[in-house]
Amino acid sequence: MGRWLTLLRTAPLSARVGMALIVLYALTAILAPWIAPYPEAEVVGPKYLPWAGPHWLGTDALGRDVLSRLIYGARNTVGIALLTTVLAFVIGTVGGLLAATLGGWFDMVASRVVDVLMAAPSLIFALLLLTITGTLVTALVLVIAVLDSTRVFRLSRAVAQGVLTMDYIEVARMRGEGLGWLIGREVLPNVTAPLIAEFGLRFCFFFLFISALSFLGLGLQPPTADWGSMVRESAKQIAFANFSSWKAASFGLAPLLPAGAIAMLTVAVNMVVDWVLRLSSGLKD
Amino acid sequence: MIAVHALPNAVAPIVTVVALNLAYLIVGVVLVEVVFVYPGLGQLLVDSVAKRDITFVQAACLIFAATYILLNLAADILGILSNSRLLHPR
Repeated sequence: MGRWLTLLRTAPLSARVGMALIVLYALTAILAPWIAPYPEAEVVGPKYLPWAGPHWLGTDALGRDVLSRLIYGARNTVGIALLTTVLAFVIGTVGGLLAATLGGWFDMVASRVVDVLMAAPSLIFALLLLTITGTLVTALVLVIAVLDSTRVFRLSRAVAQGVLTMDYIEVARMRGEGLGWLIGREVLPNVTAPLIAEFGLRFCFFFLFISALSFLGLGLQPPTADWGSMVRESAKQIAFANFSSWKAASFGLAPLLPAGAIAMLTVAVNMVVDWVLRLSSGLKD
Repeated sequence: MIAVHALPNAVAPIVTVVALNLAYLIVGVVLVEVVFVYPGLGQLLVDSVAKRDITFVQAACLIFAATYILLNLAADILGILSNSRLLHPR
C-alpha cells in the first residue's frame, strides 16, 4: 500500500490530471441516478430548449434533458466498455499465456485461429457477427471482446515467450512445478506491467469502437442514453449552427457535448497509460 | 543520388504504410458514408445489418475483407520486389 502511495506522489502532472478526470468519470457513472436531475428516457419538456435552467444543457429532439442523458451515458457507455475490456483481457491473457507455456500443437492451433480473426478488419467482422446475434447488450459485449482479445493474445504470448526463456523458469520446471504454478507464479507477475498499459489503450479503443457502433445505430439501442447515439441524433443540428444568439449557439454546440465527453475520457486514459508505460519500461528521466 | 541510393531502400516501409492506410480507409468509409449519407457500399452494409439481411451482409463483408487482404498482399509483394536481397532467399 505504501509503495503505491509513493508511486502516486511521484506521478507527473499529466498523469495526475488524467487520474483526476478518470475518478470524476467513474463517480459520475456510479452515482448517475443520484446526480442526474431527470430520468434518462423521460420526455420532460418542449424539444430543443436552449441552455438555461432548469435544463442547463437544453433538451434534445424529443424533449429529453441533455444533461441527464450525458450523466447516464457515462454509466452505460463507460460501463459496457469496461466490461468488454475486462472480458477481452481474461480471454486473451489466458489464451496467450497457455499458448506460450504449452507450445506445440496448442500454440499452433490458437495462433492460426487468431490469425484468421485478425485477417478481416474488426469493424466489418463485428458488423457481420452482430447481424447474426442481433444488437443485444450481451451479444455486443461478447462479439467485441472475442474479436479484440486476439490482439491481447498476441501481446501476452509475445511477452510470455520472452519470460519463458529465463533461468528461473527452467529451475521451476526442473523442480517439477505444474502448469498452474508456472503460469500463475512465474510468468504472470513478469508480464503484468505491459498488460496494464495495454489495458488502458485497449479500453480507449473499445470505448471508441462502441461509440462508433452506437453512432451507426447498431450499438446500445434507444431509449438507453449513450454518447455515440447522442452524437448521431444531434449531428444534423451542426448544419443549423450560427453564433449570433445564445439560443442558436447552444443549438449548434449540442452534438459537441457527447463527442467532447468521449474525447476527454480517451485523452485522460492515455495520459495515465503514458505514465504507466514509462514506469514499466524502466525508463527514468 | 537520392533516387538511386536512398529511394530503393525507403520504398518498402512507405509501400507498407500506404497500403495499410488504404485498407484502413476502405473500412473507415463505412462510417464516412453514414455521416455524409453517401449511397455507397458502406451505407448499404449498415442498413442491411439493421435489417438483419444476412446474405447481403455476408457478401459485403467478403468484398471488404478481400480488398483488405489483397491490399496487404500487394504491399508485401511490392516490398519484396523493391529489395533485391529479399528476391533471392537463401
